[in-house]
Amino acid sequence: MPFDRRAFLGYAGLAAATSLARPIFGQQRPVPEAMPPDHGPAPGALPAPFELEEMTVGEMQEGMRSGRYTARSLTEAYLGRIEAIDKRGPAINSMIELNPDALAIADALDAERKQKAPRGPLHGIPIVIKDNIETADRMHTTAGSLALADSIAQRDAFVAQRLRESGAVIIGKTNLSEWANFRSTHSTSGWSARGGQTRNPYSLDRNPCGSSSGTGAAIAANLAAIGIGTETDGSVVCPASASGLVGIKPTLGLISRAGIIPIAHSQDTAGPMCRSVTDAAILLGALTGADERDPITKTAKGEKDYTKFLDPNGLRGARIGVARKYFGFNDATDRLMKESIEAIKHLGAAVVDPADMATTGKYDESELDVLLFEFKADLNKYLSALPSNIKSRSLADLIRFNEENRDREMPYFGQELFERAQKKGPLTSEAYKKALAKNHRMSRAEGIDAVIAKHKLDAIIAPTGGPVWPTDLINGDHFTGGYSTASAVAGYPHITVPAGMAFGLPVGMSFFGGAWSEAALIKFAYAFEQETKARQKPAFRQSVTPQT
Amino acid sequence: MRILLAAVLLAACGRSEHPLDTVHQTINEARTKPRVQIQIRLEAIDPSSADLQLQRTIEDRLEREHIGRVVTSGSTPGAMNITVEVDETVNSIDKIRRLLREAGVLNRSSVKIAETVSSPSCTPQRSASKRPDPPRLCGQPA
Repeated sequence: MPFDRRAFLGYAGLAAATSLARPIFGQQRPVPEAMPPDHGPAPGALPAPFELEEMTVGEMQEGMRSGRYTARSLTEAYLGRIEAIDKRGPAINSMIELNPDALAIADALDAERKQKAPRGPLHGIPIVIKDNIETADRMHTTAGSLALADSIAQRDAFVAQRLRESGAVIIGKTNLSEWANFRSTHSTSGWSARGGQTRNPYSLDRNPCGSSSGTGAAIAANLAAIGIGTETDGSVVCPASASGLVGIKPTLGLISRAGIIPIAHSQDTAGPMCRSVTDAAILLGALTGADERDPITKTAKGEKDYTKFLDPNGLRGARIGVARKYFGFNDATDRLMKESIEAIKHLGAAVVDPADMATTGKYDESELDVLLFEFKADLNKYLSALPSNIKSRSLADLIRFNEENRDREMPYFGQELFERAQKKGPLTSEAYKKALAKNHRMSRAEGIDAVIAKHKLDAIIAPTGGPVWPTDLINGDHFTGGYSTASAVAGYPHITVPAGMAFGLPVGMSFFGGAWSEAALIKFAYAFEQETKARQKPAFRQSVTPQT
Repeated sequence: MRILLAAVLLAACGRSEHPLDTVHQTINEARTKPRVQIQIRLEAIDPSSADLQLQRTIEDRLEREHIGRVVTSGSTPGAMNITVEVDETVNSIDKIRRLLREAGVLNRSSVKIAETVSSPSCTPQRSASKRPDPPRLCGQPA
């Protein structure tokens, strides 16, 4: 059976291939008005007004400073919101587990604030994190799999540790595409055996993209202030784009991978998913730092405070390239991108169009190869270190578990990627080394670095994704074009920021660049965001699909 | 009257309606972090160029590895001193000792928690006073 790229990337690998298969500039047919039909919210689905709706971290800090809010009141409000709409009403089903200690943590942080000063801008801020990030508390860490349903981490992931140190209140964990979407070649994003199907809050019949589906849907629906996802290729930026959020996929090594259930160490990273660039910048700064458990972090060129790069004039004088190969999938998306490019010019940037990478689409197979090799090695290492009560201690055990629990684990799609990974050899294999070297050369020196040098660019832009597709558990995902792969394979940073709405669905625009260019990308994304203010809160419509 | 009072308080605290200003203000007001004092004994009274190079390397690693922020550094007769601001002392001191061991100077170094300094308050600036104000939140009753 030929390999179907959409599955292993969960999203992005397809973009490169399909970009070559479809006309770049689309068909010359009238573009429909990018407005949704008036299906309205699902019956009984319209949430009650919510005081914290679209509130920023800065506004919450101001509220806590003035005494209007406390960490407890914010936490209670979000837990109430989750209770009201996550499993009832629109039932977006973004949360997989709540933290039973959230209110106690909030109380302690309130007491500390009274006695001392806030630890920083995240003190008392409620946050949700993806269910593949370990927390040494009463919550489980399962990647959505029933095989890990009893897994309680012995130690916080570095990410969770940094959040606690910065005073954030982890109120729960979010659903995801099971195993971060590295199980089947025809999976449905946002589905896990443990968590079920997450729905897109903009159109409940549509997909939230993945694999950080729950974080995307939860933050879009205002179930927490900020959230964290993880990405191997597209898993932060695609769900962020699909939910009208800012997502940051940082340079590999900026954020420690320790304590995160792995797919592949050469591409895995956590990243912020927030409703504004400011909040994402605050969160990114809190997550950086050297970690002895992940030595790559010791060479990171990170910052502790990215908010100093938030400049509304940040695009003035910048040179921005347009990666045209990622256009041409959807007329409404292209129209939004055209408007976005005009906005960037209006803000004083010089636009180089086109500025394409010559290697686009030429390393999809080697990417998959590397991921299969690393998945087997990394997951075996992770599982073997879990407490002894976890019976699945290797990839082989997981494959067996899924077969034995086929009705619950594989009712819609199988585990072809697990089986392919299991057949791979060790990381000392020549095939692995060659594939990894090819990936890095094509995505870095001959990819992003080359196009930046050729055109003297500060950053490159592309549509992150198109209007998201209807959820189809029978056939799986059908992606609608977009960018992520080059940055993911290179290990370079990538930020998506809302660009507008098409048919009532959010569409994001990507800013990406060379290694450690987070500060510049944040500056550009912030200037763009302040100019366009494109994010719209979700209306929880039953559907935005035109009736036939 | 209450509105006027609130406006005065807001102005006194330097608060802005812009949330980003609040974020920056919160960062600035964030609780003062503990400091760790590193002292490396010298083999001579004055540091040699090799000693100074070593000091620069250690300072660079302290910041690059996010162990802490170098607040002050210098030398006294027979010793080089580095003060580092850290998130917390327990793990940080372990990391500093490891770094000093790797630099080959742990056996002639001391690492101890420095006297803490109080958090800057929102208002009013009474830094002229000999005794520092206790930390307090903007808007909190004095």
